[in-house]
Parts: sequence; C-alpha cells; structure tokens
Amino acid sequence: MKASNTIELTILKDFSATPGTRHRFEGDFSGEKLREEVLEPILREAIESNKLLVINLDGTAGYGTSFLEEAFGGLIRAGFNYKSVIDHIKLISNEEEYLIDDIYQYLQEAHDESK
Amino acid sequence: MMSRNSMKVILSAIAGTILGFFISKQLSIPYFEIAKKVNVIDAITLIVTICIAVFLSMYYDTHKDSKRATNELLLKRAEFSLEQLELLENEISDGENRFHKIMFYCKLMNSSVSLITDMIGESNADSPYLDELRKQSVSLRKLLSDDKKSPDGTHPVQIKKGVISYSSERSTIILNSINEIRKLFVKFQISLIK
Repeated sequence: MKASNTIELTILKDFSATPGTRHRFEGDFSGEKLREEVLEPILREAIESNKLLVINLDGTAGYGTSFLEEAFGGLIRAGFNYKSVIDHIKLISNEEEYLIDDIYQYLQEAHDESK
Repeated sequence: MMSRNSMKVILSAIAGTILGFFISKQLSIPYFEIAKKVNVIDAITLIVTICIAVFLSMYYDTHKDSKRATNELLLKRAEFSLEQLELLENEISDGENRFHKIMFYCKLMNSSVSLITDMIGESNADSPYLDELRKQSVSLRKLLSDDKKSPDGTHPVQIKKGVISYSSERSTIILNSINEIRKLFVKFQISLIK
C-alpha cells in the first residue's frame, strides 16, 4: 500500500553537514550512526503510521559511497522489509541527482544478498 | 531592443533611398531611363524585403548573443570544475587525504557537471564529451570512497579518524581517472570556443 502524508528528514539539519565514513570507529557522523540513530527510528515510525519519509540529501559537504551503502543498504541488513522501505521513502537530491539511483541500487543489492 | 546590425540595415536602406533620389535628379546615364513613377508592387516588394532583412538580422543577432552568453557561462563552469579537480588531485598527491575535503571537492565537481548538463539541455545544444564526462566523474566518486574489499581480500580504501588511505593500485587508478576527466573538460572547453 502506498504511503500517505509525509515525514521530512533533512540530512543537513537533522544529522550533519559533513556526513562521514561507513562505520562509527572510522570517524564522526558515519553511515552507521545515521542509520541507527536517525533513519531506523524515523523509518519505523513512517512504516507503522503509513507515512512517506522524504529524505533531503542536499546541502552537505558530499557523501561517500560507503556512507550511503551503510545507511541505506544497512536498513535491509538490519531487518527492514525491502518493499516497505521502497514504498515509504522518497529521496530528494537536486545537487547530485545520481545519488538517488545509487541509494536504490544499494537497497536492491542488500535485498538480493539477503535472499 | 534593436540590435546594432538591425540599425545598420535600416540606416543603409534610408541612405540608399536618399542616394537614389539624388542620383535620379543629377545623373543622366545614356541608354537608361530613370522612371518618374514607382510601381506600387515594386514599392511593396522593397518594403517587405527590407522588413525581412531587419527581422532576419535581429533574429540572427539575438540567437548569436544568447549562444555566446551560454558558452561563456559553460566555460566558467568548466573552469570551476577543473579547479575542484586540481584541489582534489593536490589533496590526494600530498598524502593528506582528508576525507571531508576529498568528498567536498568531488561533490562540487560533480554538481558542476550536472549543472553543465542541465544548461546544455536547456539550450538544446549537444556536446560529444558530456556523457563521458558525467560517467567518469560519477565513477571517480566511487573510486574515492568505495571501501569494498578487492577480490584478493585487501582493502583498497581505508578510513581512520577522517583520513583516507588508498592502496597504491587505487591511488594510480584515481590519478589516471582525474587526468582523463581533466582531458575531457579541456576538450569540452575547446568545443565551446570553436
């Protein structure tokens, strides 16, 4: 079922202007930290209340591929259902539009690996 | 606003008419007769011809000015991208490898390429280098930060306390990729100037 209403998450405002590495032990503001402290609770809320989580990626100093893979691919490894995630997130990236394809690819790959 | 070339066409037409009037008064050319009356059809034809000339000149000028302005903006944007590429190369070459700086320069370059692509799209122009430029610059970002293990089990990219270290093989691939992107930008710039 497609989600109605929205919850907004802006990485710049709600997490950091300088997203970092994959794991916490590698440096500050890692993808692991974003996923565990921000994405997982807010996405769980969005799925339970059938809302769309709109994630705005613009305005930061740039994302490493490992950061995004851990933050989003990691959702599937953490037990989130692939279809639920896809149905309940909307990504905005006007500055680097290719990030959206990358994130969907990480989700797909993590889903394929989990089979 | 009327362009300089359009003004020239109008002034030339007026000057030609005045000159023609005086010539007809002063000159008497053997075997030729200057008519005292002007055929209405001929007069209309003359006016229509002048109007078409003015319109074409205005259209051509506007189009040319707009293309020149777009090309100047594209050149500036390409120059900016090249600067980011150089900063990125310096950061990697001097061994500092600060993660946030590297990702920031890479982001600025990639955003710039996206902007160039949008501008080219809006102006209905085409560039043979742009697709390759986009492909290479997105792939550079992956080379810079993808920490997946190599098939031999080694880590080509390792990050500790905000500093990235690259294997020597990955460093070489990154620097080659930077060079390729630089060449593509220069080719792109040359194609705009031509």
